[in-house]
Amino acid sequence: MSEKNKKIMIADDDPGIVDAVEMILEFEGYEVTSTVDGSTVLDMKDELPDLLLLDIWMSGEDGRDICKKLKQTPGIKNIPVIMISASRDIKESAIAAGADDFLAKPFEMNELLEKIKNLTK
Amino acid sequence: MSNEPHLSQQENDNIFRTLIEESPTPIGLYVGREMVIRLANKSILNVWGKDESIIGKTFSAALPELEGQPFFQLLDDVYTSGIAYEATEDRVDLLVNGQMQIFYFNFTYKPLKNANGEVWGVLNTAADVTELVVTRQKLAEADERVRFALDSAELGTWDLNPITEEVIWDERCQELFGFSPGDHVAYSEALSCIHPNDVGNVNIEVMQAVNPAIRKQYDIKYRTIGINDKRVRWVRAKGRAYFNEEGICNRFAGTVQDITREVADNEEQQKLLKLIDNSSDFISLSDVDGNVTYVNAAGLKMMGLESLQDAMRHNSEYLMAEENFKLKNEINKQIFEKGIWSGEVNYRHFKTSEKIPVAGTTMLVYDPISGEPQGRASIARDLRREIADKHALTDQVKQFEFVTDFMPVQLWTAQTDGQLDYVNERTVDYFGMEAENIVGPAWQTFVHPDDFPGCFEAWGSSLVTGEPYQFEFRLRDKNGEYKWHLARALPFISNGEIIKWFGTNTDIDEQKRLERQKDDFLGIASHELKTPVTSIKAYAQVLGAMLSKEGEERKAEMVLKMDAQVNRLTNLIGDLLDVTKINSGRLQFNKSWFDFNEAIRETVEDLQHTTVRHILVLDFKETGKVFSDKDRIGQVLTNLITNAIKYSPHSDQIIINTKRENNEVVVCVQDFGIGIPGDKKDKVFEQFYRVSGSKQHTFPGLGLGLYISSEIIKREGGRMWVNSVEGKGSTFCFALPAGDVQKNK
Repeated sequence: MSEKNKKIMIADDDPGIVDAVEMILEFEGYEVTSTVDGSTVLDMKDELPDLLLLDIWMSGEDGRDICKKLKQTPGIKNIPVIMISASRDIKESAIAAGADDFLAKPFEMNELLEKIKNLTK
Repeated sequence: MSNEPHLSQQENDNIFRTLIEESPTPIGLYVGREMVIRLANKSILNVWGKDESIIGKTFSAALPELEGQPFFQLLDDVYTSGIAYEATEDRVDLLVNGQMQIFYFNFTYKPLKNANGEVWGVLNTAADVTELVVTRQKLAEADERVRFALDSAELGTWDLNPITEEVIWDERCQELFGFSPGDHVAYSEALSCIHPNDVGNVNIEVMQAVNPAIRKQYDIKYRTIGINDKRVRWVRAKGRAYFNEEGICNRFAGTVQDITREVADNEEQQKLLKLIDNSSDFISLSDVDGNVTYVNAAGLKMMGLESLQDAMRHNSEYLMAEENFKLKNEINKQIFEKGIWSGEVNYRHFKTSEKIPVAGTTMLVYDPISGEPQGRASIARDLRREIADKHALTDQVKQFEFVTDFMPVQLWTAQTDGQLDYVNERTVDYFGMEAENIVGPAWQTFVHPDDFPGCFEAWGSSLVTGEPYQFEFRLRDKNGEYKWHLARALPFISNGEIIKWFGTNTDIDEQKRLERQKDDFLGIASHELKTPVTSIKAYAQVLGAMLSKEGEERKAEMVLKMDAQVNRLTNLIGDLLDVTKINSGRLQFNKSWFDFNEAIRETVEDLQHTTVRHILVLDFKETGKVFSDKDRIGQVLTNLITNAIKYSPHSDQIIINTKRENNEVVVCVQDFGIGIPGDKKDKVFEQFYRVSGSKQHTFPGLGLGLYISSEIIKREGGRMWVNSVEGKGSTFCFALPAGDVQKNK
């Protein structure tokens, strides 16, 4: 399966979540990179990920601002972004910020995988 | 004997002449066409008022005053035609004692003819019938006058012969008994027209009148009922009986008069007098100068007067001495200038000299014909009670204000139009300005602009419906800081009508702050709880997947159960978050059009997987689409169905039905479980409410589900309700506004 080689980047300020999601994705055969520091998300250089999982509240950084910036930056603006938040009320503003999809915490594994699959086809 | 005839002729002539001369019948003889008076006896001279000197003159020369009257012509006609003329009661105007006077005569002009039948003279005989004619004229006049008098007095006359029972009465009399003019009326018929209540009295009066031993003047008032027109008339009959020598009554006659109007007027007057006399106000009449002629019963009592006689004093005596200046210079002046005076004045009790303040009106009464002032009429209301009441009320108001000023809440009263008319000291302190700057519509400017529209609407609605008013808003204090207050007001109802609103503003700022703190805490806590739950869930799922992959199905199943428990925890956290959102008004909805039945079906199918005991039965009718938050509606339905499952442990069926009704879509979840007592039915939608009772506490839950559900439905513009019979089960329903079927199918 070619999809299994896709690279996913996770940005969440909670190491527990980063770790758990990493495990899921790696279990499913994805390549995973991660960061718990929101301010470093846009520093990606070498290999660009095929998809970004972006938390919204990240200790001093708003995921929506990051998303907006990303979507305006040439070269990386085509990377699909799934935003994740504990608050489902935030979905609309996430989409408005340019996110390609949204997931409320806590989420079902299958739901996450399906969304990733859809966006990395 | 040859002389004898001559002599006797002479003698005869004399006798004849004397006879004529002395005859009391006026006789005159006129000769020739020119009518020379040959003979005029004393009687005719007397009539003419002339003496014998006129004999030998012509008739016209002797009686020039007859010129213009027909006599000259008549005499000439008789002379020329030879036909006699006779007149009966002809009018003749004669000059008597130098004055023209009217006389009436029967007279004849008889032509005297010679042997050849030629007329040579006219013999005039006459009889003075002046007195007869005048008397008859006078009689006729008198009769006319009687008739006129009877007519104008509307009197009818009657004449009864008691022996023959024959009755003669005039038309008016007949009319008063309701007969038509010209009817022939028997006595018995007339009697039958008398009002049954009066016939006894009439009989007694008649008996007394016709009884020769009593011979009482007949005078009675009674009613008749018209024989033809059935009208009731009041009549007054007067009359007397006449008796023959044997003392037997042979005539009973008199008059009868219509007094219906008089009786009616009298009754009106009696009623009016009674009214005046029974009036609780002082009413008096006096002459133009103020000399009192009448005071009603209430007036006598108020003034301490013994009798009407006692009341006949000048009006100045009715007043306190110091009021006489006012009477003279204000009251009397105004009465004569404007015809009326109204105002307050102090009367004085005649016995105790007590001052009696009254509100009085005095007006001039005018003579209806001349239009001249005839007297004064006064009415006055005793104000003592009113003044005392007012004092008592003022005292009470002062006490009320004294008490309220010490109350630790802002207290206010408002008129029915919503304007404040009183605020207590506490309010004055809070706003730091005088009460007069707070009352009226001014209070509105102290309300936080964000809170004002809701407050205005709630207050307006209460003013219209009379429902108690309650609203939370921020009020700006004297330092310009807004503090949360709870305003409540109740209508004060008297005789079924709201006359005032009593309200309070309680400072709930601290309470609000704590509540907000609690909500903030819950919000943050829930959020923080979600983070570890998210990792646990992720670990559990990946662990489950790994175990499955390794073929460790039993272990994988346990991990799945763990995941289900994590879901429960997630839901509880979600509930807590929702409550804080509801309480802070931050509950959000993502509305879209969706098929209602389809959404319900999805939720029900998901839930069917979570229960093995219960079968969820679907009973759907066409609903169409709704515009709402699909996830939230699913959340509500999930809540209702999990409740139904939870509270019906001993039954196995839950029925979910949907329908569209009156522009609403309705869904109901019916269980056959423990049910809800009637008095607790509305409580189940309250925050933190949990079923209570001997066993009910054993049921799990935070007591938030129905509260959140009903708040969600409320905020979606719908409504939620429950029907339940304790021990038989409950049916929870909610309704949402339906979409346009045609447009959104």
